[in-house]
Amino acid sequence: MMRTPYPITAHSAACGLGRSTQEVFDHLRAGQRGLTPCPLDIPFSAMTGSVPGDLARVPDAWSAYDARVTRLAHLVHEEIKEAVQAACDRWGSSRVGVALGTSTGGIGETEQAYARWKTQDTKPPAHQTVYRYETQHTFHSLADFVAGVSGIDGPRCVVSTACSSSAKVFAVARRWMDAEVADAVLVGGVDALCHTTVRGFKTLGVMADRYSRPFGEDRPGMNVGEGAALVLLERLPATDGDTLAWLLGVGETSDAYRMSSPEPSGRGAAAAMRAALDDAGLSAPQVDCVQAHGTGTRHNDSAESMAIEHVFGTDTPVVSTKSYTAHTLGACGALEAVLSIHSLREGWIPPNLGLPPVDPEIHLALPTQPLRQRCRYVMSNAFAFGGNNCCLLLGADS
Amino acid sequence: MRPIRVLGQGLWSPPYATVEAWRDHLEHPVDSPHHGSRPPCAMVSSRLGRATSMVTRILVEVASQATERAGIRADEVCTVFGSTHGEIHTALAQMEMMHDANGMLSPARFKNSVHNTANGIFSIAAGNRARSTALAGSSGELFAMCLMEAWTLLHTREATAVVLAIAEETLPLPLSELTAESELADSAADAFGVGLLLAADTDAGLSAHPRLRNLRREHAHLPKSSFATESRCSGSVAPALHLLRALAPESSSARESIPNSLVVSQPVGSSGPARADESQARQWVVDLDLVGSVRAVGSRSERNPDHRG
Repeated sequence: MMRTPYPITAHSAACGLGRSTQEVFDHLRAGQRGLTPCPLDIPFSAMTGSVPGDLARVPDAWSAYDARVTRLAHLVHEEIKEAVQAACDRWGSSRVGVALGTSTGGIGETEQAYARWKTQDTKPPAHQTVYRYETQHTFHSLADFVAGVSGIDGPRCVVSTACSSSAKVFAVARRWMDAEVADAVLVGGVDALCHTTVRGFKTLGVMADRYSRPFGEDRPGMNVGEGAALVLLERLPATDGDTLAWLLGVGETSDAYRMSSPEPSGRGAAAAMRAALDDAGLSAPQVDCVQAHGTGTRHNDSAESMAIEHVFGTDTPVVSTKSYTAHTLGACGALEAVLSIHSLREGWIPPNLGLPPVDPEIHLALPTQPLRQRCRYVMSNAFAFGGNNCCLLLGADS
Repeated sequence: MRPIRVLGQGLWSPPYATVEAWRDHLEHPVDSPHHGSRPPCAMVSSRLGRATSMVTRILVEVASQATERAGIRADEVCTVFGSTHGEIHTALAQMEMMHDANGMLSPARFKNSVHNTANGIFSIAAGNRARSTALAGSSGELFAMCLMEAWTLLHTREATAVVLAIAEETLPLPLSELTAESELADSAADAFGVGLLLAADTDAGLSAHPRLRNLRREHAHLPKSSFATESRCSGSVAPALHLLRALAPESSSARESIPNSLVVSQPVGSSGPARADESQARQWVVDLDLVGSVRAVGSRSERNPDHRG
């Protein structure tokens, strides 16, 4: 059954490619990689993606929330705060909601506090002046902060389903608008680079010590990164503004297979893509590009390529932008939605970096040069630990 | 708004293995009820359950109890799991590992460290391929937000049945010392979880009309309840106990007298969110107008003027 499409009226993004949406787009267009040697003190080498430069502290009134993750959120919010304010004026601030995704929230602040506690042998309360678990680490503090600085007074929630978190918030927003509990929703995702994820993926044996090469032969694994992206969805297009794109469909499924490996045939991923197509009332041949989850790990790329082939065949262009941005975990769903919107608006599909050689078992159309072509519909995939799948279908028009 | 129906209930805490055990305790208190230190999670194999945390096991246990009691197959329901602190014990255990000699983590721990671990374990154990989400929220809003997510899934017909599970553990050291003033760190509280099986297109079960309201925070609190304290339950799960009391059989003295409607919300502790302008702080709550087998209160035409549903 076709669902009501909702217009996207503003967006913003920051990641290893840049501190602003325009920087991210410019560096994507230039074929740059937003990756550097990991700045964290870790006992191995890794390439990771960090937002370049220093991040400004959050406003003084919100100093209790100051953390790298909220600084990232603040950075991307500043870019679209006028559009958010316009939505609050248009619908009423209590009719505008916030739904954010994060995988680890402000865990980096607790990592630092814990290290001080261990190495300096001081009692935890001594750190209270510089560390507050409830406002700097908890996942919900991220939504509290964004709602607070933006003046949004509608419902707020945080989805934390690992790497599908900020794709699933699009589904939350749509349900809120369908059920008329909100008229506009600021969705997005934020995750900051931290020891837990960098060391964790290393211990799983999937971290690359060099650039990742999604879908490549002998690919070395994934790069972990940080990022933030916000997308404003409204019930109706702005009367005096631009509609950037439309949310047409969402597909959510579970693999029921393993915690940290996808179902090898890609069955759950394929079901999510088909559900998004059904939701949008579209058929697979109408889709112009698949923005793959494409982490660069052996298992993900193998399963996802089978899923894409089942749904789309082998002619639809498929791109993974994680070779540019690294895997931004809880932020990747929203970040890659923003990159997909760029393709829709510009009729430009970025090439896959690091290819060829392509994995001989993978038979997808993986462009290695930019494609300039009409782009009306993009499928953007996000898959996560626990076999949690979410696919977004975005369109240039409704 | 379409009403939602409560078709099944689940509860687990060290003193109580089931909802009935908890209600029995309210009717016939004993000094130190204790059932067990780990939820049985019969649906989870020992291999799958290896390196899972207490909060994951509680969420899976109460979800499976609620599903089983509703007579609905566990492989068909959509899942909404919520926790304020989620896998915080695992997170701190991993931080401890970072200070070991090699500074590396355990693969088994890491793969079970995500907030949606319980979703994954439930999905794998039940063979459930339906949509599944994991929410985080303050102790004041989490249960209301989970109810709203479940209700909107039913309202939009994205789901025909939703299992909602919410659980917390007490905070581990050193975080419990850092949040000493908060009810989140209540040392008297036990790990606690509640599960509900919710559906819409059925005449069975108890009907509840959800009403979403945005209130000034000082008006958004539950009436102070002794039974949550007696039950050694604090944090985000406490509001769910009000609903379970309302759902008790009419013959039970554990049944709560419901004033007008059930406000599933929770006071925010003194060390809760430090909003820039605390005097203007507002909080979302969900009222449940319970009708049917319990009592009929309110109606869609009697909604509060600030009702937005």
